[in-house]
Order: sequence, then C-alpha cells, then structure tokens
Amino acid sequence: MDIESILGPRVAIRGVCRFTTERAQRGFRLNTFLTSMRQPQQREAFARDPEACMANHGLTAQEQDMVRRRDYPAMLDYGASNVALGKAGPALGVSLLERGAQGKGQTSQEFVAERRAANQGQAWQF
Amino acid sequence: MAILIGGIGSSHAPSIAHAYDAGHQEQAEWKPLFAAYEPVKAWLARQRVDTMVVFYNDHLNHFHFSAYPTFALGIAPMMPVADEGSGARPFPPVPGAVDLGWHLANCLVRDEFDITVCQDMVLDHGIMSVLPMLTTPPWPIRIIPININVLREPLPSPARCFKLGRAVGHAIRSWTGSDRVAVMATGGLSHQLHGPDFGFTNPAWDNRFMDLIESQPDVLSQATHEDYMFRGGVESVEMMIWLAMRGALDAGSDSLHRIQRHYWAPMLTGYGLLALAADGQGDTPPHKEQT
Repeated sequence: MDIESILGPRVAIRGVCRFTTERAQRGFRLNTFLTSMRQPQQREAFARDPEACMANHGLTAQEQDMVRRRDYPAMLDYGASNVALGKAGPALGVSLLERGAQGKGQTSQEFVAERRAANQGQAWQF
Repeated sequence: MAILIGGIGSSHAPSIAHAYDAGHQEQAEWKPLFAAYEPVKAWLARQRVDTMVVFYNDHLNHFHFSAYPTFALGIAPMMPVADEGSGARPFPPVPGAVDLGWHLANCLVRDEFDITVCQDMVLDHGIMSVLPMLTTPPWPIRIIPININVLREPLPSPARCFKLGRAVGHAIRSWTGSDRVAVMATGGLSHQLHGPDFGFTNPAWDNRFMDLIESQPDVLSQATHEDYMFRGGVESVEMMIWLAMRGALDAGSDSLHRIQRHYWAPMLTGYGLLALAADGQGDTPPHKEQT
C-alpha cells in the first residue's frame, strides 16, 4: 500500500518547533510559571508586580528576559510549550492573533487581513 | 448489554467557545457551523444516547507537565469546567459515568493499555467547546473523558490511538449495563500556531482526512506524526485522536451510516465535523419516517 499517494502531497512548513524531550526538560520551570497563570491569584500577582512574580517562580535571568519582552519565538525555541504560552496569554496581554502576527513579522491587522484573504472563496464542502 | 450507537469527530477550539458565548449562533459568518451540529444533536437525542466516551486532549488545564499521562481516563461523578486563564465558562459541572468508567479501566488494562485513572477531572475546551452544541445543560449525557497526549514528545503513535479506540469499543460492547453510548473524538483539523507559517490551514488535506477516517482509517493509522505535521501543521498532529473514535466503531465503512459531515476554515484552523452511526444502529431521520 502506497500510503503517501493516498494521503496526498506534503507541504513545506517553515520554522518548525516541536515540543521535544530536550525542550520539555529545559522549559519545565518556565512552563510551570506559564501554566500557573490559570489561577486568578497568580494573574493578579503578575499584574501587580511581574518582576517579583517571576522571581518567586525561580525563573532564570534568560527566562525572565524572554517573558519581559514577550518574545514568543525565543520562548518556544527555549522550551516553552505552545499550550502553556496560551494559558498565559491573558496574563501576558498577548492574544493568539497577536502571536500570529509576531510569528510572521506583521501587525495584527495585516495578519488578520492575510488570513481572511487566504480563506476567501474556498469551496468548503468537498 | 450496552449499545454503541455511533461516533463523532469534531474540531475543538477556543474560538468556537468564544463564538458560542458571544451569541454568534445566528450571525451570518458563524451560523453554518453551529447549524451543522443541529442534526448531530437531534440524532443523539433520537437515539437516546445517555453516555459519551470522549477522546480529546487537555490543554494543561487538568494535567501539568509534573505528571503528564500518555493516556488517561476520567472516572468522576461530576467534572467542573476549567478556568483556562481568563475565568471558567458559566456551565454546570458535567456528570461522569463511574460504573462504565471502571469497566473501561478494567478492560483496557487487561488489554495491555496501562491507562492512568483520574478520579477527579476538570474539563477544558477540548470537550467544552463542543459539548454545548451537542446537548443542553444541565447535561443529560454522562461523559467519560479519555485524554491523549498530543503535546509533549514522545507522543503515542497514530496506530496506538487506533488500537486504543478498538479496545474501548470492545469494552463498551461487553458492558452489561443498559447504556446507550456514543464515542467522540475532538481535535484538529489543520492548524500551525508558530513561526512564519502561523495560521496555515490545509482544507484539501482536512477533507481527505475526513474521507479516509470514514473509508480507510487503517491508512491513517499507519501514517507517521510527520505525515500529519507536514500536511496540516505541527499542532495538527492531534488529528490522530480521531483514529481512537474510528477504532471504537471497528467496522468497515459500508456498515457505517453518515449522519453529518461539515467543514469550514475561516481563520487559523480547519473546523471539521463528522458523525457516523455504527453498524446495526441505522438511524432513520424523521423526514424519512413519513415515506
């Protein structure tokens, strides 16, 4: 059975960043910090004093710097789970669309406009 | 004996939950998506489905990386809705099915799926972005959640997900209770949520995937993680969760009766919906009963 021909063509995905075992190991402390933002008291603590909150979680200087700059590509490459970054989105004040725009080097408006244009005029029901 | 009525595959997404909560059911853009769930909801009600096994993935709302299971089964009388970072949605807790749940645990471990049993669970959008479109609070359908790790490598293989579904299907059919059970898988379809291709969707692949789930799930089960990632985007590897649902049906496509199929990809992900009645559970829609 030729699986590839049944599945159809692959596509090139640029900048692939998988949540590998190495990233999981390096990013564990950062991910624990990010997922803690599910708790209202942690969100309040971060909003009140982000520096103290990060220090209390024992983040390293490098980790604190990436969080401070909301540098999503750097955090992902370091070992942040994309899902953990999502948990912390409201606390960090960055939406999924804003992260998309950052990933592509666009403004949010440009990103949304490009996605809408890409999806327009499709025959959805195959 | 319990009856396996059929299976549902559905995307889960925070965006669906946001649209639901914002009351976009009648908005022109969103109406076709919400309307697509109505025949499935009617089918579940017509078939008096009282229990649903849901294969999904948690998004670090119940589990954390401190203890992150490959497969986990929720056996709890009541499961609250998770606060995912901006407050919990105002839904009542969802009832579980502890009797069938323990039967599944016994059968799965006997079948060499050494699954983690969770006696309390909170449910996130992996289930709750879909459930309100299929049934109405206060939830007449009991839920047995089965979490599959699609986040942290090493991930279970697509073949393993398919086999897990088969084992769950056998366990449901061997249950002596009178439950009327549906199986559901949530996840996908195509999405890529990082890097320069952030926002990529692949409607052609998503539709082919839904074709194959119905007609050739064995092909999808033999595909690799990379086969999924390099068609639907890295995060879309969670599409393999659908194989567990299809495995539970454990039947050729000829014996399945399609209740619904719908697809739409407006922004960052392909929203897919597929509902299949199981062999011998042929369902007669109301409009046909009159002929």
